[in-house]
Amino acid sequence: MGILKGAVTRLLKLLAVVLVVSFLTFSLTKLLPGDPVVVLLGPQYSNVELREAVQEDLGLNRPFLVQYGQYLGNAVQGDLGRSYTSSFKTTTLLKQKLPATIELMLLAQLFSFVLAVPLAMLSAFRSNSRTDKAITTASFGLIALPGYAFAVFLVYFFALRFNFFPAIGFRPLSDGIGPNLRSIALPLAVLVAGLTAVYTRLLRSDLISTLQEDFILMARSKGLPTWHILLRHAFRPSSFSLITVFGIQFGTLIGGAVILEQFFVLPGIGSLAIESILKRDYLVVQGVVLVIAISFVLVNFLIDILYSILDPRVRRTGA
Amino acid sequence: MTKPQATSRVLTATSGHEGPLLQVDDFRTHFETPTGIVKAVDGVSFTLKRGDTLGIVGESGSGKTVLARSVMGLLTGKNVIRSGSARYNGTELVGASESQLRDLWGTEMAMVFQDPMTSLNPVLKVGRQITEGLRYHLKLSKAEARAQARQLLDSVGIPDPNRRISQYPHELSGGMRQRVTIAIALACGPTLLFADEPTTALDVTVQAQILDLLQRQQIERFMAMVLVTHDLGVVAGRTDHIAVMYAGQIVEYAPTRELFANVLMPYTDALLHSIPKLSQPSHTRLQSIGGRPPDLINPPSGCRFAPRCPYVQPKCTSEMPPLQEAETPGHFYRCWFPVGTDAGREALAQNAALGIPAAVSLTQTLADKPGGTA
Amino acid sequence: MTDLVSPTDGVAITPPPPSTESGRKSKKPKKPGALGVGGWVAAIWLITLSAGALLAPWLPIDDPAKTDFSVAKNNSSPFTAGHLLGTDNNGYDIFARIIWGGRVSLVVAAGVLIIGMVVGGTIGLLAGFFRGKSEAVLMASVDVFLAFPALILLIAIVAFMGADLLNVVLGISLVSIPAFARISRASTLTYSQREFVLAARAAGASQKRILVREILPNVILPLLAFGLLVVGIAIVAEGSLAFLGLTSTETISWGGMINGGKKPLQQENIAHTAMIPAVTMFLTVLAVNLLGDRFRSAFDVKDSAL
Repeated sequence: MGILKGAVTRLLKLLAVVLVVSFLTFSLTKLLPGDPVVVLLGPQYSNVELREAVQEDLGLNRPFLVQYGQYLGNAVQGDLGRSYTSSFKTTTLLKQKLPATIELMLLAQLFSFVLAVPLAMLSAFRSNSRTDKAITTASFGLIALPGYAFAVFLVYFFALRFNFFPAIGFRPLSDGIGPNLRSIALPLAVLVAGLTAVYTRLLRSDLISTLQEDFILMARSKGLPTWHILLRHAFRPSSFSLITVFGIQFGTLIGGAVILEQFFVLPGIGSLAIESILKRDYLVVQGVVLVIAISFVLVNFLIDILYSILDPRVRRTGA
Repeated sequence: MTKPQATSRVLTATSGHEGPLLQVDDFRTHFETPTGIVKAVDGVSFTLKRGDTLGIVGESGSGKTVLARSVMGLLTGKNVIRSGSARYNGTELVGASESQLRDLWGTEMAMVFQDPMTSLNPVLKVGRQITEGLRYHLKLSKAEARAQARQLLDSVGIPDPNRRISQYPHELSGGMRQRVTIAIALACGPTLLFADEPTTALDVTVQAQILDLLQRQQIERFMAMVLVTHDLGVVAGRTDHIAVMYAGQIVEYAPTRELFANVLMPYTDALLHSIPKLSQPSHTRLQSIGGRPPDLINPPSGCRFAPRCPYVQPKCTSEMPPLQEAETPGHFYRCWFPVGTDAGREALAQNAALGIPAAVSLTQTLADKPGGTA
Repeated sequence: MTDLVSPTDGVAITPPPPSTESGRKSKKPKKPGALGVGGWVAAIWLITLSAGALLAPWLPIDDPAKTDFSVAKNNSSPFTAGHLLGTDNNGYDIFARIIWGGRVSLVVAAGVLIIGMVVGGTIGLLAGFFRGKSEAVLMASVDVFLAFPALILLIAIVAFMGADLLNVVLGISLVSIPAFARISRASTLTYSQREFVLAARAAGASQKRILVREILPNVILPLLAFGLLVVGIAIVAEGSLAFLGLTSTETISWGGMINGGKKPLQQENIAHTAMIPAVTMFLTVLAVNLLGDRFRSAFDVKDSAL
């Protein structure tokens, strides 16, 4: 019962977050200088009648809150408006651009998690050994390495010097898994390197403090094998901050993929966001931000539930 | 306390090894630290037969916990240096690899830790923490292990084991949790049980219950038990022998009854004076031991207790007394001027006359209680 | 979140002892507060960069805006004809531009650190001290902020407000304020409940006095530790904007240089144009992070508190 009640409260809170984000985005796009009608009409902007007709058509001359209410009402029904510049529906654009971003993000999270867990365990279990020092130094360095700087190196060596991977472009999954994976290999490597470093560092330091707990000594005194102690006894109580950051990274990654998507010319929503911002295509920008906020909130809702499954103590206090 | 002595001989014979179950000889455990080598355990020897209980007593920092953990081999780390010898059933434990030790842990020797709040994994169900050892060591099936776990919980006095088995540690009371850790320690039928201050973290009301439980299990399962505690009262009626530790060394070792009847080491005497007794009048002043345990990096060159000892003489600070046997066989002590001897009485009187505070207050206490140990 | 900093452990960052033994091979763990070899290299690197950036107009280096096509048609490799690090495809001297680009990074780092710490720190201090509504509002806005894609917000600000350096600094600062506020609130909360604050309160000290004299000095340390972390992030963020070509092309910035070097990377296989600024930025962020790490261990600020 406790879990359910906690989940509902949490969900309502997250819904409020999405609402506020959408409102802020809406306000920001209105407050910031730059009129979409200018973009739409170009030189014809000086034609007052035409300008007012367009404004009337887009509902831009109605009171601010009414505009927001309408936007929200439509959004709930799955209508995020039409792009001012391309006559496409915002939702259509999002559907086009989301697959590349989502694929990149999911794979990056998956690979870095799978890499970070054993690395952190190796590092924490043999803390202060040579292996540990190598792993911590490498992750410290990778955290300081800006993604785009790394991308430049990877492209130079793996795409231009040795033609392992294409330097730019995206092949959708429908072209086959091989070409698809090859096309995103380099941006994926950049993301995985950074994320693995962050996760390894985080999990290592939590594991080290868990490994000093009495219950680990107790588990050892039972004569259980090391891998069992690390996996069954140490990993779970050490995974809480890892999981929290893992969730936050979903949000950061969608937005943060902007640069890599630009550099590697991937048709993702990061590129879409930049293009729309530069073209003053408000509705599309709002749509992108809304999608990012909703997915962030949803992922973190799931993380919260996972958290209460992993830590039985939370279940009681959370109710 | 009746010991099935006859069975003892039979079982020792079948184990293929004559002599004591645990034989510790000049055992040392040192830690390398940035400031120097900490000699936490410094030349400890004792033996323990199957079916016997040894109490190891000392204040915090005396090395008693390190001794228990280190004999078992639980202390790992590059900075731990173990030397001397500790033989379990003839097998040398010092220098044994972790995997060799792991074969003994759980099945041959086990440990009950001090604080059941921290020694149980908070995110695993009680049942799983009992069954994992059973499944790994005894290769039981899931169902068999569960049945066995239920039986174990029942035998350590946990009511309604069917429900408890699927609860988490935080849902249990402190005493209940310690019963669970005992069940875990007993799960794979060890013959040697270390109990490291098993009641220190518990309410006074449940301390006796836990000690009784340990004692009953020890007798029923015919185990050897090492009971580590800072409280002489805990070991009083429950052990066959007592080893008193101070600054990494054994300073007095005797059969329990003999030790209480005939204390020789001033440190043991001081420990006895520092615990309240029901037989005393209700406002009797407890004697505290002034000063602190010595620095284990550079211990005093003579007797390690000398800086705090009311009996201290010049000889004590220059020459370390050996662990020597008293007139009563089996009673060992490490002192130049033992309590209750003429030499001791003279030393104390001399110090009291000089106005040394520890000696003065001890003399007063002794005068207040005609039945005092000196 | 308890016990962020133990006030008694406030060890100052001091130079390592003169004996060279304590450096590499000695098995003893580093003394708290010692910079270590890496720390010293990092500090020297940052000081050199900052000095170069500050003194750039007076240094005997090429004019970063002067093109030199005398060496080759365009890109020239490092160590050729008076150009230490070569020239880029516009004929600019890369070494001079690295030095001048450091100015932008320095301004961004200092600006964000000051604005973020002052504004965010104050908000968190007040929220954590007075609790109540201000705190609720703060925590809610942190929640909202986390769900808001920061980089997109930054891009929007720069795109709409104009791409000059001031807007870049303001934009990055704005994005960093909630994080500073969160850290500041958390440590304020911890310290508000400490005995010495209670003692001051019992002695009749005013709220203002308690806040400024008792709590603020303790909150500044974790805030500064976090600030060092943010400096690295801010330098990378400015670089991102320049890399995306969103900042003014007249501003010389490492990110812009990497961006400018992308083309030759693909067309002519002359990699150094992009790689030199990339390496410079990496080393700088690494140095800042390393010093931040030393700072945190010296002042016992727990990583998890950030």
